[in-house]
Amino acid sequence: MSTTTTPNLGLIKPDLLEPMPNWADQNASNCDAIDDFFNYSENSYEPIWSAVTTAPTLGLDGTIEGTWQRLWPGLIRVEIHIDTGSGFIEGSGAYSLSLPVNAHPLLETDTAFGSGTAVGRAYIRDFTTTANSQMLTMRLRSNSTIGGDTEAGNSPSTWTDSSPFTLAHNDRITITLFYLEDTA
Amino acid sequence: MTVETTTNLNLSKPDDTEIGRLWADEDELHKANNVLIDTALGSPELLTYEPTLYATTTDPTIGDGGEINGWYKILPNDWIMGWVTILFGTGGGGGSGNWRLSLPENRDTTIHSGSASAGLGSIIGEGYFRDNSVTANSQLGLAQFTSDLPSSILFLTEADSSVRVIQDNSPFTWTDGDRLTCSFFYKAVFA
Repeated sequence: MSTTTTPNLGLIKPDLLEPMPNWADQNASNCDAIDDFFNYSENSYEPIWSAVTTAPTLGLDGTIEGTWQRLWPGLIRVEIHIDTGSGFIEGSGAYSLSLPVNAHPLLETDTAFGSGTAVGRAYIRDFTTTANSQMLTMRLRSNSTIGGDTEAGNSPSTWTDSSPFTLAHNDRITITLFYLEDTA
Repeated sequence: MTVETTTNLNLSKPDDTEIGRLWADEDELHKANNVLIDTALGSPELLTYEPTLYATTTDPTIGDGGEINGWYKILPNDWIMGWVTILFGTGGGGGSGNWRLSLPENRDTTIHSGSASAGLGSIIGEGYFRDNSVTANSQLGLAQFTSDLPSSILFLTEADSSVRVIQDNSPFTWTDGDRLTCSFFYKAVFA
């Protein structure tokens, strides 16, 4: 078929010399292209929480839940809630959390403080000492994991087992992310 | 009509036989498809609403010459992106207690949780809090769904040593000339 197509969705644009015989196929192709554009979905997953040296242990009745939506072609929104349980063990090293789908390879990734593409925000709540609670900027450590950086207080740093504070039972981490997925 | 349809929008895809046999109806399929696409695209225009700023004890006062404005756009699948600006005027003040700000529509509770406590609800936006008289007090913060109402948010900050929810005296005492601006993005449920 030698018809022209639109640049974004590839919709077929037959001219007057390309009339009816393929109309049904062309219409079906266009319908599928438009339909794919609205491929919205709501999903859940269980993020994997790890650390550079030793992964944290969530503890009894602790929860880690992730929900995510494909809002637009390739645009992913993620919401993660972590509640630390009784007997939580903080592990050691810089923390990371897994993503539901890999980030686009053109988005820069880095494990160093203040590096890697910023893809969202988080609030980390200290249940026993509210004044320790902090906002985090979440960024790509790899195309499948995120880490965090603190941005206030005396010493901004990477989110680790001891920064901005050592997590314990009943603490809460709430995260919201937006990023483009790897569609390859 | 038994034509094949797409999975997401139910667009009609008649084959050659169906086109010939249902030629008169084919135009109706076009119309129906266009309506489906148009509906899925959401509201094309930027809508306005009047946000309500209130507090758990005494509601804030915007004051003479003050302004509170809200804009939003309905995106496909009932997601809403919006913005609010507040300017306190003469005689304006923060009332007392933790602040709440109304949003244009209720949240989808299957996706977003709400809480009156800092850090326990879904974070759906960001804000900036400007102290007009002492700029150094100005802070950025996050917008979190509260549990009081399904269409209200509170604001989190790091400014104060003990308080994390914005109120009349946190991160500073709100008065004439101070400003709050925020953006939000969430999935709504329409009545």
